[in-house]
Amino acid sequence: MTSLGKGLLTIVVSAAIGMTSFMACAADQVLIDAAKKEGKVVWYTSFVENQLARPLAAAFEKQYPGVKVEIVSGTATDLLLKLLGEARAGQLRGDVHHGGSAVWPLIKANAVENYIPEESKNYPPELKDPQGRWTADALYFLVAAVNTDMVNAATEPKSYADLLDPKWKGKIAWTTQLTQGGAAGFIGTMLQSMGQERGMDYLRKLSAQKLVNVPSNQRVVLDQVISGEYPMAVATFNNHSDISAAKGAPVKWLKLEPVTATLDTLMLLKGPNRNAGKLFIEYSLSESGQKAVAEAGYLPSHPKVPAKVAGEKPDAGNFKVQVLSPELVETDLQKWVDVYNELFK
Amino acid sequence: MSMLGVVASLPAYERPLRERLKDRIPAVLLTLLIALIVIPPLLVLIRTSLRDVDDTYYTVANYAGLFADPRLYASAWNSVVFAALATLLSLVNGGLVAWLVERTNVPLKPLAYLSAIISLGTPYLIYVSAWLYILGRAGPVNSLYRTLVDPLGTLFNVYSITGMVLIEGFLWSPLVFLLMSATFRRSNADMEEAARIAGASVTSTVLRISLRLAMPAVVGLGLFVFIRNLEAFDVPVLIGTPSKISLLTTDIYQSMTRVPPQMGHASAFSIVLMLVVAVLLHFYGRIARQAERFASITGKGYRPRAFDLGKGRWVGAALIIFNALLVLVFPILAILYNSLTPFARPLNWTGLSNLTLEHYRNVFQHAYYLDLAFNTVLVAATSATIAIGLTAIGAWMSVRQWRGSGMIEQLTSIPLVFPGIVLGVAMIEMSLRFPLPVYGTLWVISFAFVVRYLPYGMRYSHAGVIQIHRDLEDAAGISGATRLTVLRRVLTPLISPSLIAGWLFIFLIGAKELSIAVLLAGQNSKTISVAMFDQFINGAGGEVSAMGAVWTALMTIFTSALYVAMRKRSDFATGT
Amino acid sequence: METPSYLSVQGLSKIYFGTTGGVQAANFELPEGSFFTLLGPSGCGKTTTLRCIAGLETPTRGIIRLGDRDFFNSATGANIPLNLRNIGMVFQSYAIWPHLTVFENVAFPLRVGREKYSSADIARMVGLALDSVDLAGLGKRSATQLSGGQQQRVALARAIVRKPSLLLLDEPLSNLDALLRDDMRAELKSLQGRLGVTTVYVTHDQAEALEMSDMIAVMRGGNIVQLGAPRDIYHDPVDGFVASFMGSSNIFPGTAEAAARAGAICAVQLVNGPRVLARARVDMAAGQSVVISVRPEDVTLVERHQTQDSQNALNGIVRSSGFLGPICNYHVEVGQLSIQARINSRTSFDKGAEIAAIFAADKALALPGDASPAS
Repeated sequence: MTSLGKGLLTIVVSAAIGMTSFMACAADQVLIDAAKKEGKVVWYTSFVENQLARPLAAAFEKQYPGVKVEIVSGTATDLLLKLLGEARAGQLRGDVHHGGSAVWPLIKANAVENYIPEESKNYPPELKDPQGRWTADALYFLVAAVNTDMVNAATEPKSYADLLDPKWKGKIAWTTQLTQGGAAGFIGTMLQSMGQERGMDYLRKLSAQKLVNVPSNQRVVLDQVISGEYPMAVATFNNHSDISAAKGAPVKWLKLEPVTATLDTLMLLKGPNRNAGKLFIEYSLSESGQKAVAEAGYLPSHPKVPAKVAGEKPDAGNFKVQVLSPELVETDLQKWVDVYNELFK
Repeated sequence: MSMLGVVASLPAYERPLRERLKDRIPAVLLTLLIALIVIPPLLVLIRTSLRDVDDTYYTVANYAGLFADPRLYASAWNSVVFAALATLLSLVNGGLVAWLVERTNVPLKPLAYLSAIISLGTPYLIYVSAWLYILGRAGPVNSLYRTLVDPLGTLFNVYSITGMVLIEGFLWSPLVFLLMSATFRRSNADMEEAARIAGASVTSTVLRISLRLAMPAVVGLGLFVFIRNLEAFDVPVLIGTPSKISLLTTDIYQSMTRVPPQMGHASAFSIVLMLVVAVLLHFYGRIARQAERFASITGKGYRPRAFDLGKGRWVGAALIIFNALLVLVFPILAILYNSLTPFARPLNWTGLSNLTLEHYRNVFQHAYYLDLAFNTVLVAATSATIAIGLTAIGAWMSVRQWRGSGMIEQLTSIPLVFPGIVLGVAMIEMSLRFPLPVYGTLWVISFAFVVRYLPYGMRYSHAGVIQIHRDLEDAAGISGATRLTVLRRVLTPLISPSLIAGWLFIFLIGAKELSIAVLLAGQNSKTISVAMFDQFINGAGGEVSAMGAVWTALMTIFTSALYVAMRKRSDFATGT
Repeated sequence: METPSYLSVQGLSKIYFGTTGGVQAANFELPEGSFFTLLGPSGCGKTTTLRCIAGLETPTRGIIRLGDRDFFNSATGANIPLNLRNIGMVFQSYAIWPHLTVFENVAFPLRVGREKYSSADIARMVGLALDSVDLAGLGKRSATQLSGGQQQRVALARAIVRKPSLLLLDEPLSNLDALLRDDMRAELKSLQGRLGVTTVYVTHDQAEALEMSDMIAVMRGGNIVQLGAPRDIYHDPVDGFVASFMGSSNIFPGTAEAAARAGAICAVQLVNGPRVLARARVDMAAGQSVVISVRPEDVTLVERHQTQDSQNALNGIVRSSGFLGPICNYHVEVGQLSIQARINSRTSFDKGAEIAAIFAADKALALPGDASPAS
């Protein structure tokens, strides 16, 4: 190839690149203008307000002056109840929703607007919906955790099978939350990874271990492990253990494989400020938005953005996961709940 | 007699229509107003109870589900036992302390007030957590036992019916205390002294006279607390679930924590409970109707005097201290400890030597907590004022059996069994359909609180009014006062101790109410309890404890000041 | 009485559905300034009548008129609300408001009524009212710091402070001790006289009624059984009930032996007892059942041989005696009857003494019908 050819290619390539980036910019600009016209975006989010929701909103407002973010925060359940109420009254007030397991009820309530974000092209297929109904903006990994004062490294379980050791009888706590992020998710992971038959067999044996049902959320269960109420818990979030351990708490999470992976999703709602909503989604999924997520101690879903503690994500932490996608949850959750009611209630 | 002829021909008096209407209008208006407040959420509740999970069709499955539970009888029995014992505990504990404080010369009276007010001001969430921590396996009680007696054992398993009864009983003791102390303060010492002169011991005077006189108030209160306990979710679930003790509300709680929450189940349960409550209230109504017999402020020889307990004073003081330890000191110490440790840990030397003020720094860093505190005080004070105002008039009309007042008491009792979360959801829809843009504002939250706390207001107001002898009002009427003047210048000052106690109670529980506030909070209408809950589920338990400690301190200062001011005024007025 | 009627109550009835209480028919006319007493045992309807006049109860039918103003008239439908009737009332329970001072209790009617008074007027009028009940200077006291008698005076001061057109008193003295009660009786009467206010007084104590009233209505079972001046009612009761309620303790059922005109002496055969002579109060037919009423002070006890020509001499045995200072009270058993006698205490008889109880035929009243005792 001649230098001319080389030069030509360079020009073509750079032109192509330039074109793409120009087009991207143009699209953005239209969106930005439309968003500015709307002036604000109402964000229903289950991120903790002080830690993440406000910093993220502030970063967005800095990037796009003229578009204000109104945060309506709450637990995933509360936000869902609110949105369903709004949908029933025919007056959706939220533009963007972020919350764990709310995808399907919202779709059924006709509250979700299909939108495939530009940024989602950087995300693997299991983290986004092909129709653009949702994209994952954060990840959760459900793991077992032990109190290191009560359980030493030699005796800690190395696999799910080790949980069946009689010495753990009545010593393992878990949350009673019947979501994919709680007891139901744990059951689902077993059934998905081991198959129906082996999975049920395992769960039956596990139920003989008399797990302690703690009627609270994963974080509270973990706190009870830290305070020594129980030596071990399953279905806790791995980043929670690291946060507490960093402060000196005697706690450590265990890589029993496969680790349950669940998604926090971002959705565009059929709210009043749809353009601002799209813009906000683009920002949240962008690298700078995801870095804010990581900074707050959450696990970013963007493949290129590492977690604050890198080992919390499967690639860096080198552990296998079982993803419980929103579709799987929609079809199988009731089954998992039934198993819980049959074996563990 | 010539006039006999005239007399025989006199027709029976028929009140002219205009007057009959005029007579009924006030009570009917109030009834309508209260109906307007409680009926719409009731309709939503009924509708919810008849809808399937996805809200697409009507079904009775929710009711069928209630009765299909194979453990229904066992659960029902557990629930009744739990509710009855917890009610008894709070009645005995709160009532006894109230009697000691108001009717005897026991020392340390302020401590009893302080205990009640602080424990009411403490956010529920951290109060229960504190108790679970104290009595838990890793808590100080059991670790002390392990150190001293048996290194592997546990002295007390909080995860039991006993644990549930204890914690629930302590939770309601302040309500009983505040209400009963208002009642006892007003009771007529003559009757107790008459009993003493007739040879009765202090104990039998209390049992036969003081208690009998306070009976309508006690029965009403007991019924009320019993119903609340029957439909309580939190304690039965928080404590019962780990120990696999099943109560009626256990399954319901489970179905509410699903995504999306299955509210039909809970609503059906509430409706069934509401019917039970209606029956209970009917019987209570019979007792209350004889209220005149129990009226103890007659306007004659009214001199509240204190019993001299002699050496028994110190037994009483011990009781007050014991009560203060249970409802105040222990939980507060646990909260303080948790707010000072970097992370949740057992109470031991390592823990005590490694305390930090970091959580407090975090709390004071965030200026926006100040806004939240302001919101909270505003909402709680508004709703307490409205609820007490409405129920004071309602109780007056209903006790005096005004024409058209028959429904008032029943109506105000309806929200007693509304689960907070269901009421919250009902309010979302209602406020969105309201013609004014109230959705997500503090107005809606205040309104929801008024609905929720009407029954509490009614308890306090009702207990106040039945103590006032009718003559006191009639005398004012004869003196030329209109009914409004009677209300303003005679009744209200006389029942002010009950009203103040009720206002405080609603204010304090309103300030920590969570389930409704969480659902209805918009971006500018968050309350402090919502913020605490946010932090709590995020694992910032230490920060929550710190916020709780600060908040409790604020509430205590605020309400103590209020109480002292009001009490002084009313005491001055009554010359006690 | 030809004085024009001031308070007129006609055909008043107040029937409580499903009970026996209330008022069946009450009629009376009072001249201005009179002291009128409704007297009767509890449940006779006297308080209900009073409460109807006050406006605390709405009558079933009837007319209540004060001066030319219909308080209530079931024919025209008039019914003036209680707060517009300008009435003073003292409740049995006093109904002193514990949250107000003595002054404020008394000033209340002036502050809340239709007429407005300046604070100087109020101070003056309250001062006058307190003076007239001998409570001058106690205005600043809390009402709860007063004794029972003082509270009663406060209630009275409150009732008269705005010069009511009518004063209603509902057993105001029943809660006072005996000595205080006697003082208050006289004081009340003189106060009423000074003020000249028409007063309706309710009591079950016949001594109070007799001492204070210009006119008494004795009520029973919701009806006025006798209406008249104290003397008439005392000496000339219409029936055994009134007689017994007015303090006659010797009431015996019997049968008239022959027809007799009113005022004539007739013979009556007592049930389970001797035959006596008595004055017929109304015309009597032969064989009519009657009751005989003899006041204990009209009965004398004598040794049996001293009976001489007494019209009625009944042989009996002294069963008990009570020494009351100037007089002595005896219970004498005559056959199956027990007769009470009250005689000068200088004469005395021992228990078990066989004596004769004598009384003049003129002092024994033969009354129609019913002998059931007043409660």
